[in-house]
Amino acid sequence: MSELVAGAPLGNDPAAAVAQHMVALRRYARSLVRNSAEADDLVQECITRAIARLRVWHEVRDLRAYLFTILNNVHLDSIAQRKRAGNVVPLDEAVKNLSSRPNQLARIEANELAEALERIPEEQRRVVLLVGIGGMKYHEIAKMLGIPIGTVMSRLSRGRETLRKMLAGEDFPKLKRADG
Amino acid sequence: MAEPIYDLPTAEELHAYVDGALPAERASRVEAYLARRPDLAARVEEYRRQDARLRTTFDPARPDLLPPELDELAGKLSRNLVRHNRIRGAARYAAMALLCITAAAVGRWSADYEGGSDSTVLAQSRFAADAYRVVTAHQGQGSLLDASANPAELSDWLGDGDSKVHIPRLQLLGYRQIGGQVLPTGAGPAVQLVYNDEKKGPFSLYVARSPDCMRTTPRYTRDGDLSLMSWCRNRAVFMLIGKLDRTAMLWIADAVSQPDAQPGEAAQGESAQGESARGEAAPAAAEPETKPSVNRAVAH
Repeated sequence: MSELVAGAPLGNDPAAAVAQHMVALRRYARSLVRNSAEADDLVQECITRAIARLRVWHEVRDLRAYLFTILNNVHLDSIAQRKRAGNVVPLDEAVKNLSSRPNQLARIEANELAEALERIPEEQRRVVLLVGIGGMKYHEIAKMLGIPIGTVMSRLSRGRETLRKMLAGEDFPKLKRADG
Repeated sequence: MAEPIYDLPTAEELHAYVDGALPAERASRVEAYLARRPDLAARVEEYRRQDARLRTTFDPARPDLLPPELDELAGKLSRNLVRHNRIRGAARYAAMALLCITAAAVGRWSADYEGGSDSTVLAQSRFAADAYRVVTAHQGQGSLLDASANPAELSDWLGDGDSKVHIPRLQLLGYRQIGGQVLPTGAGPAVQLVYNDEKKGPFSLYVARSPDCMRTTPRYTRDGDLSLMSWCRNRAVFMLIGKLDRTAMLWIADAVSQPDAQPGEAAQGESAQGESARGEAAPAAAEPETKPSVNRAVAH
């Protein structure tokens, strides 16, 4: 049934489908780079690549998976590029740049979540975000990352559980270090 | 009643339950288990809230408003997608026509008749057309078909060993599977798989045993607004029913009926292929809890 839902927008109304995916893509990009301007740059590059790759022989069965796969690659490329240039945005600065939430409590919560995310291993974080924000199916992520579906599931399971414990105040690495 | 230990949901399955990725039957067992384990049920809720929180945390300040550059690109992408779909539709049609001409020239189907019972096939075709109408009439409700139906598993209903019937996966020809089911007929079980054609809508592949029909050429008939193409292979009757035109049906029949065509096997391990497309180190060693049995349980 998932294929029906995911595949439907292409045939019906591409404009509505694209508009809907833009919101999810921007969210995912912001969760990856924590900086609105930089996130929108990633999405811009993603859409530019998506347009360039539309060829007659290239079938786009599921627009969401197609766009998220490109965005994921754009991000990985940008990391590689940044590493080569030795230019790394410090986390604290990036967290401060996170979008302006309506009130202070929401801002604190947003930063708490962003910090907790930063502490889980990158490979787990990516799967947690692709499922939680991107709404991607496990088999789509497996194909995108070139890993077995069982690995997607175990990364998700461990990533989500660690995040849950951190947000609940259990097993928070920062506190542990302070105690020790 | 307590579950046997091997039947308890794994951590991965709890997450698959949260994400709606478990087959219906397993999901209802997990649900029943959670009803007796409020601690785990609460955790499942926490995972759900966590995902919702992820989405709101990273929402742009005005999600409905795109920056001008992005807005322009999004518009361009939509326009290109419309054009892309149109061109691809035409290209696929041309490819089908070409294949059919080739098949006719080679005469693959000529002198291919090795007996067949018209009455059996006719009876099955009526049943198949009715089954198609029932399923498409209820399509929106999604209650009749199993979306994750696997042709290879359904074919077990039609016989095994020497009388095993191979049911092809039409996804490999570019059609999207909507679902499938096993149907009781007066002459034993039949398998109905429903696929979608981008232009002509749903069509079904219907397969039943037909002991006295060894091998026939595809025969095209019409039943009201429906097209029906039927042929026999190895004592099984295959039928395509829907609004596809004759050329498209012949193309499918031709592609799946060649003696060496075993498209099902080719794509079985699709999702479990390639350990590391981006050079990740030994995930099996890094993540020992990966369970192959869980892989099979996930609805694709």
